[in-house]
Amino acid sequence: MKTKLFLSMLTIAIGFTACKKDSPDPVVETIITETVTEFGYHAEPTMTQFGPVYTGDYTKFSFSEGGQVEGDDWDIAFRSTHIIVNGGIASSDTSEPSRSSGNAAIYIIDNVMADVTSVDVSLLMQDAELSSAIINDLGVGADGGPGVWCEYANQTVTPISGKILVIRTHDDKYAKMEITDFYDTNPAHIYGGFYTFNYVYQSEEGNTTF
Amino acid sequence: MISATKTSKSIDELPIPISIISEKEVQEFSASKLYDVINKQTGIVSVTTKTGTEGLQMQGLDASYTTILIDGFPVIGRSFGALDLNRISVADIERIEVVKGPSSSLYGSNALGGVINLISKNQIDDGPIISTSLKHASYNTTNSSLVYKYKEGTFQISNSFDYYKTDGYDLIDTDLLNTVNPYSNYTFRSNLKYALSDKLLLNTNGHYYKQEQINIAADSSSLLKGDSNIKEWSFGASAKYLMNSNFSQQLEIYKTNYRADEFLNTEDGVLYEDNYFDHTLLQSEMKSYFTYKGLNSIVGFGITKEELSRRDFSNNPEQDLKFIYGQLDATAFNKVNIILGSRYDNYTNYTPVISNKFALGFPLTKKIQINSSVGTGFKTPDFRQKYFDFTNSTIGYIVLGRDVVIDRLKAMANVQEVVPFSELNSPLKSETSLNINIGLRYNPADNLSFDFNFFNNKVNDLIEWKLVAKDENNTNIYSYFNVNQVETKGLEFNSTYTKANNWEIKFGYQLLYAYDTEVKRRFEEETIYARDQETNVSFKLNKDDYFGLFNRSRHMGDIKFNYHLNDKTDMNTMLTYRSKYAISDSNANGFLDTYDQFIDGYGLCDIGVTHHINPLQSCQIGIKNIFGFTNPEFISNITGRLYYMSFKINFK
Repeated sequence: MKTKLFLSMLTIAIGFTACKKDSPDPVVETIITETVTEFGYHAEPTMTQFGPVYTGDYTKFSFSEGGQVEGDDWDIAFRSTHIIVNGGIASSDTSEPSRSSGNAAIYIIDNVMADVTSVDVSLLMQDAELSSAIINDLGVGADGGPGVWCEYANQTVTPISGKILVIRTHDDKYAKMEITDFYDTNPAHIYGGFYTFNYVYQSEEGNTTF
Repeated sequence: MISATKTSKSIDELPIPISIISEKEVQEFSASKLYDVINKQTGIVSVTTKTGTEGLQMQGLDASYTTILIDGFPVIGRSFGALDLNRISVADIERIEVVKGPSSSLYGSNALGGVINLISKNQIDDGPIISTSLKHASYNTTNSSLVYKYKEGTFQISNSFDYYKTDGYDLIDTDLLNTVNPYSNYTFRSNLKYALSDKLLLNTNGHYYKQEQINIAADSSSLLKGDSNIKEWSFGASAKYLMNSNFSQQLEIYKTNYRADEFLNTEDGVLYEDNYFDHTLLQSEMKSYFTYKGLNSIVGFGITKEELSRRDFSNNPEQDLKFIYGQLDATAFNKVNIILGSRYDNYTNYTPVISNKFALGFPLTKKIQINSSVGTGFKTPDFRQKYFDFTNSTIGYIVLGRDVVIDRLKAMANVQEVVPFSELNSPLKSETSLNINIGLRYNPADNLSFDFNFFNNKVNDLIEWKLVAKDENNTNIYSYFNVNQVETKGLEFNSTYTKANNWEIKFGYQLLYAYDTEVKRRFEEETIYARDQETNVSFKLNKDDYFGLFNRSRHMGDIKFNYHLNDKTDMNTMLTYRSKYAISDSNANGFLDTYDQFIDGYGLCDIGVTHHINPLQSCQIGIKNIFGFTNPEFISNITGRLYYMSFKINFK
């Protein structure tokens, strides 16, 4: 009888220790979800006799900052329908920002934002001397192949639905974004280049999941 | 009914889906023009296309696939394939025959969706007949007509003169433009029949039509004013020789011209732009009829010559056609009817086309008739798809017809290819179709009938414009390609119940599925995306989210009710309904899906009373669109409530 009591108390004591869980490590949320509206401070073209020509600066964007940057820590940059990344080789256009420190890369995939849960690193492309990774629509290939995110008709640029841009930032972090609008509203500039986009940024280095 | 087989056949005997609009029905609608009466028929609807032209849709097929005839002769002058049915007066019409389903085996190109034939009245009694009518309606609309006919023995002549004038209407008050500008037109028609002997019948017919309309447009800030005028004439002659009771021959010759001119001046009277369109058709056809017991056959052959001259064409194209056709119509056992027809069309510069039709009708029981038909049809590329040379500098695009695009692109500097230019080397092919109709007619009693018709049309090599290149200023250049395969299918149901000398009710309904087969396949096999119109975020569509072609309603219905108040007075009401449809891809994903913006379905109700004062005089009053439905933003051809009253006087 005493042994039974002792044994049952021991069992209960062991049971309690066994059931006691370690308190979980504090979770650091590394995923940042944001929307950027009407981004494109250098969007205005110069009017020439041949029509509008874009020679100004690119507007540089950094995912870790969540906005415009002026230095070399940019990830992607916009000028009108051109999107370039801070990686690869610059084109012969001298107005492009320097890419000395960047390892950014990008690809476009057909999907919806929520369903892009990881990065396929084999698809990542960097800009090259003769062609940028993202084809600006005003060139050939306007029927929605990979590398094309918008279409141009009736002097209006429309982002194609179901195109997600997946980016490796200049410092090896990953983000995905969907461009939803090319124009600003108040006032509305007819030449566009004011990007509204939703993005999800994975701030943990090397983490390819969202 | 003549149009279905080019021979005279009772409608009960025809294994082909047809309907007849009688003279009485034309009067009940108080119709002045073909437009007023034809778009109130089951399964037929008048739609306004993206280019602003209006045309008929039949079995879900576009206006350019229906041929319009007057006494068997074609009416020309189409804008983007559509014929303005407000041009065709229905004064002195015996009936309007509508044949649904491909009739290319008899009528050639364009009769892919069907044929509408207006038959003018034949006089029965000798002596003169004079009748006049006068109608006045809302928007200061007046329509007056005078018919003078004379018959003596085997000679008869019929002349009709019809004058129409209206102030037009304006659905949107806030702008300076009218929805329809004031216009007036008159039609003069003359028909002569003379039997030289009991074997030789001569017939001549002709008409002249003139329309004048004020033309107002806006250009950024100023108003432009001008005129828009149409002149049209036709002349036809035929000789029919009755060799014996079995064999007869008919030779026809016909020429028609349609000319439209319009201009716009600035407020200072300086010419801003002008435009002209001049289309001529010459046709000659020889038909041989052979009848023996239950067998009817017809063999015909002929030529047509067509010429078009217009602005925005690089040259004045001509098109020559030689054709031959034959049709066998046999009735076996007094009940089973088989029709077999075939036509060979040889256009210069084209591969010849053969169109076939087979129809079979038989009674299943004493009260049930089964009808079925299968046929092929075709439509050659029209002049615009071949020769257009048009620049829209305001919006910034160029459209080039397929026969001119290569030379024009070669002459441009720094052209970027969007479609490989090698694809442009071959000429456009004709659009072709395969159609099946299966119908059942059930007559449980003399005064009650039910009619079901299932139809399926597959149209191949549909011609559409597509982006071809960009010039050095990045202006989009389009040309025409055989791109799509389109399928329309559905069910048409009609029912009539008559209570003798009392009232009659007719019910009609059409269910329609019309879609691009390639798009349907993509929705089923690939993932299609659309943008949410509020959040702008993309989402995935299901395969059921593809709605189909633009401007098609899934459901259309009508109810017509005739009440015979007494010996002198009739009342009729009519209700038509059309379910929702869309005219643009509002979420810009390239397809018409269920998330695009639709125009709500709507119903219209008309009511009219006809009173016969005495056998020679009658009057009519009524209201069209009693509930005053309008949709000013999207539907420009519905005016709101319309009152009318008319008088008709026969002299004898």
